This record gives sequence, structure tokens and C-alpha cells, in this order.
Amino acid sequence: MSIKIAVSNLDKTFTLHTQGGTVINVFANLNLEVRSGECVALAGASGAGKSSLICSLYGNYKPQSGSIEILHDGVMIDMVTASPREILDIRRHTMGYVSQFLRVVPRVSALDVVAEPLLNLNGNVDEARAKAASLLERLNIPSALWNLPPATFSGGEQQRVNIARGFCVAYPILLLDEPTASLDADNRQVVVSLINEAKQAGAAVVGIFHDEEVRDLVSDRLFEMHSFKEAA
Amino acid sequence: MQTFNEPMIHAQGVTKYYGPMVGCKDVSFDLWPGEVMGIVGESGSGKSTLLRCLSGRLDPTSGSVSYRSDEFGDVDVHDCSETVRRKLLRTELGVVHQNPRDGLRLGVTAGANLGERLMSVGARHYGNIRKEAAKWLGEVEIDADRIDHFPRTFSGGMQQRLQIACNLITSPRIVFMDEPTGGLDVSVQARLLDLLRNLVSRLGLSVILVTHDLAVARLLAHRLMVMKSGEVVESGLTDQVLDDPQHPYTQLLVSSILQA
Repeated sequence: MSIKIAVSNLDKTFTLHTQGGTVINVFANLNLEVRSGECVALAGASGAGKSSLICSLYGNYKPQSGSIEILHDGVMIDMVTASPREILDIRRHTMGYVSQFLRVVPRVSALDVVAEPLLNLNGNVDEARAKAASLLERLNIPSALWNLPPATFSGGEQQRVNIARGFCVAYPILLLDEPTASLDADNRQVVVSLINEAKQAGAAVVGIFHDEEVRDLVSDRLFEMHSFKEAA
Repeated sequence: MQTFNEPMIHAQGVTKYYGPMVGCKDVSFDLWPGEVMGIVGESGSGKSTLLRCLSGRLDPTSGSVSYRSDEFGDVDVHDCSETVRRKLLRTELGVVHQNPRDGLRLGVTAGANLGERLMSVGARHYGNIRKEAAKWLGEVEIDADRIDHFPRTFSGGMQQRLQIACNLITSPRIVFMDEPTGGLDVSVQARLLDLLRNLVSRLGLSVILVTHDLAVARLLAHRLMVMKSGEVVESGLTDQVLDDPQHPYTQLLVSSILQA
């Protein structure tokens, strides 16, 4: 199985210039490899840097040193040094991310929120909406809500819209930040199936799963993270 | 999305002094087809000066700005004939002013504002011009029966949408926008943002967007340049600059946003 993510010697700190230059060390010298078809669950106490690692993998946070090589279009590209244009291309084609919270845009319907990543990829409105509809249906979002902007949806509904959006394109790499946090048992099961189907299709998955049952059902191994403060 | 391998705009060391005062200093970047770049920073940080240098309306003290034009090939916008520059501003470039009254002619009807731009690129058939004007009113969600009304009878939000239509009607490839949602109330702003977002992605426009509103920047821009005292202090992917700002000034900007 090919390596899709190779993290080496990654350091992440935050320097808070507005707080008198306080430096927060998140992780140092971190190494991780994730292969095709494999799901790695990040484990560790709150504040151990799990979300920061996911954000760094996605190019959302900027690590201080080290590299994050991502297999994109047949070549390894380092997210730490890639240009914004390359990162956007990687996000469009290769790497999907399900965040903890849906970022709602005024006036955009749930269906279009979900369809957008696929539409940006292939430009086919009908195909993107059809795929979006099938995901919303699987995640038990009533069709009466599809044409409404999700701003007024409940927390669980918004999270399911967010998951549908993350799975709309069959990304070779998936990053999941607590995708099942506010879901009921039935919907958790749907998400577990979606993740396992993505793995079978060869996706490399990195996720944070606080729900141990879900974690056991989807992950192949745990990656323990320790708070820098503990280590020091 | 289009994936050409040449930048649309190449800016190199753009610097503008007003006497001893710095307008903007040593700004360089490439803008690619279909890319939206936001320029953010507090007022007086040089955003609008830079935008005016980039769109060819202000001569920089030093540095160069070149466009890849369909018609003229690579054009240095500050070192080309006035004829070429004017032609570009009517066709391949668009400028959306913060105040729509700077971009519209208030003494002629909405239809004439739209038609004028078409005629300046050679359209002559009245029926076609009117049809195209009506189509673009529809695109920006203005009722077609307002076509013979004067823009001064329009609300501020409608005027702004009309100004955008006047720019897009000749299918420009690069659009410069200076605070396009400034001074509009939030519901009108949401509508305008939604419109811009759709048009930009559907038409594959390259956009340079000046704004002091970081939420607007997050919604529309792929990447950001943060300016302070005329200099670019930080640049990068929009969500990275906003979620993990590195420069003290960017951190101050981001931490100053009110949570609604």
C-alpha cells in the first residue's frame, strides 16, 4: 500500500504577539506515515494538539519547521512550503476535511453547500447536486430542508451537512475532526459506513474520534499525542 | 476551473510615494486565472493606493505591473500607450468602486449605463444591446422593468449591483474591487456577496479585492495580502492567514473582530 501522508520532524508553536509574545508549544519533532486504505486515529487528552495536527495537514495552520508530504497527482508535495495555489489544488482534488463545525454562508442552500466541492471539481451542476442529494438522504436530512440555508438547522443537522460536504468528492485523503460528536446512534453508524467505504476505495484517513465505539470500528491504529506541557 | 499556466497579473516591486509619504512599498505578486486575492488592512494602510497602481489609474514611483491580455499579449500597464490602456479598461479589466456613484453615470438610465460599455467595445445593434442589458440586470437581481429608470432612483445596494453588471457585461478577465460591500446593510451585503461569489466562480474571473472586512475576505478570497503602513506584512492562503496569523499586526486584526 502506498504512502499518502508522510510527516517528518514537524514542529508547531503559536506565538501570541498580542499577549506579550507568549509562546505555546503544541508539538515538536512529530513523525507520522499514513498509507492508502488505512485510518489513523489521533489520541490524547484535550489540548494535546490533535486538532492542530489536522489543521497543519490541511494547510490551515502553518508549522514552524518540518515537512508534510502529501501524495497529490502522483507526486509528493510538501504542504509546509507549497504555494497557496498548490494547496488549493490539493484541497480540490486530493484532500478533504470535515471540521467540527459547519461554516454557513448566507443564502446558500444545504444542497449547494454539500454539492460545492464536487461542482468546483467537475463543473457539472446536475451530477454534483445528485451526489449531494444522495448523501443528505443517507445522513437522514429530511428533503424539506435541502433547499434551505443551514444557518437555522440544529447542531446535529449542521454537522451532518458538513459530513456530507466532506464526502461529496471521493478524496484520496480524508481528515476528520470529531465527525460524530453530536450525532445519534443511527447517524453515527452511517458515518462509520462512509468512512469504511472510503478506506476500501483506498483513501488514507486521519481522524479524531472521542467516541471509542466509532474509533474501534473505523481505525486501524492509534497515534498517541502527548501534551507538550506534560512532556516538559 | 480554468488552469492556465501563466499568471494574469505580474506585479513587481510596486512602490508609490506621495512626496515623502509612503503610499505602498515594494509589493510583488502573481495573480492566476480564476484566483481571488484579498488585500486587507486598516484604513490608511495603502490598500487603495496599491489597487489604483495595479489597475493602471495611478502611476507608481517605481516597479511594474503587467497583464496577460488576450488582445495585446503581455502589457506593462504603466508603459503602454493611452489607447491600449483605455481599451483594456473597457474590455478585459473591470473596476468596481466603493461608491457606485463613482462608477455609474447618474444622468442616464440603467440600460444606458450598461449599453454604453457595450457600445464602447463596438456593439451597435440597439435591440441586441437592450437585450444584453436586460439579461445583466437579471444576473444582478434587478427587475428588468427598472431598465429605463435613472440609477439615482436606485437604493445603494441596487446601485452597487448595477455597477457590477456594468463591469461584467463586457466579459472582463480581471476585476478590481474596492470595498464592494462597504456601507451596505447586512442583508444587502449577504445578497451581494452571494452574487459575487457565484459570478466569480462561474465566469472564472481573476479578482483583486480590497476590503477591511475579514469576513468578506474569508468568503470571497482564495488568498490574502495583509498591509500595514504601505507594506505587505503577511500573505498566504486566506484561511491560514486568518486562523493562524503569524505577524503581530495580523494577529491584532484577527483578534479585533467582534463576535456577532
